[in-house]
Amino acid sequence: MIDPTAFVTATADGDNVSVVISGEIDLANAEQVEADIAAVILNHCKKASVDLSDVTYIDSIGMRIFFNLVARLRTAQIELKVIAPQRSPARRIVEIAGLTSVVTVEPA
Amino acid sequence: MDRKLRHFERGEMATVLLAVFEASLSSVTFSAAGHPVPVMVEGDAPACFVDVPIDPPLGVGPPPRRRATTVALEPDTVLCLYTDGLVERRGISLDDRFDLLCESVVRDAPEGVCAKVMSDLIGVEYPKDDVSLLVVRRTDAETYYPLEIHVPAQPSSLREIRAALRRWLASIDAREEEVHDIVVAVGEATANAVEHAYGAAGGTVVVRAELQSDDVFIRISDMGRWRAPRGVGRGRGTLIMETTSDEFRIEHRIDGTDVFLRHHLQR
Repeated sequence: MIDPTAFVTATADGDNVSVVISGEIDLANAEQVEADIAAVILNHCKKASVDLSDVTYIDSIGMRIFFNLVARLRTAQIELKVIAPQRSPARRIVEIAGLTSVVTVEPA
Repeated sequence: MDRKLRHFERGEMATVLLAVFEASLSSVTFSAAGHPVPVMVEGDAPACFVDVPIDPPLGVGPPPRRRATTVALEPDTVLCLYTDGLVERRGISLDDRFDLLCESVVRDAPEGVCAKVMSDLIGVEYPKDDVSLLVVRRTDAETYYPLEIHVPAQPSSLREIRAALRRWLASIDAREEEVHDIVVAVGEATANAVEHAYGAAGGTVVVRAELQSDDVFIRISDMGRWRAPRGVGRGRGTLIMETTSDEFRIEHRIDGTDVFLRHHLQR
């Protein structure tokens, strides 16, 4: 496949960065998505939010990215918030995988 | 594509009509870059142009923000996509040619529609410009069919499996939440097969799904031997399969591994 199946976009506002991910995350692109997220959350940030509202597929391989991110940002002392609306595909997996127990997950 | 054209073919310009079909075939999303919009025939209504805003062509001007328009696609709907060579004719107003195209497209088998449009708009004339014509009709399986997919055990197959599974689940009228759950359970099982079943030689993953009354039975098979999971946090996949299914088991055969999933549909 030549076309990426997930897109990562970021908007910075001072010390805050908002990352929006859309599309499908699986074994084929998880590494790329992880690198894309890492590239937009810069060291000077104090707060980061990652919005999964437009993620149409994610499984345990994609969840690994966010568990890693929680650990990384804790070390870097950057506050992280994950956005996953109720009844969205990402919300279901975030809850089953237990991401809610390690990071703030908000519906919007 | 715009960036590629600007970088490698400076000064060139191209028009594009991009159409992306939803896996269930229930809708299609268009984006037009300086390209004429498609014709659609739905139900018994006469053919009409799809209301797609036209953004600038690729390769010229400042890179614009491109718009996408999603339209519902009912069963049997016909879509006609074409290049300007089909409609542009020296000495004849473009509006008249577009009207002629609209009259020409009917809700029929695509081969017949293509032949009719070519006959009505080109006829015996030798066209000056190249002409491409693509006619698509949404046809749904009229009767129930079980699903069987054979794909190479590689990461790029996972997306293909999800698309085929989503189409099949739409054909049996599974609800949205059920589709999410079933697709993710099968996604976990197939990703496992891709990651753990084969070594360097690779192999095949087979997904079979069938509906028995209100239960979906799915079997994901490989011909390899699963090695122990590597890395941390790998138990999450199993947890996801257990939670999103009504029944989940792994069966080790002599010559491979089967993951068996059952999902009860709310009717």
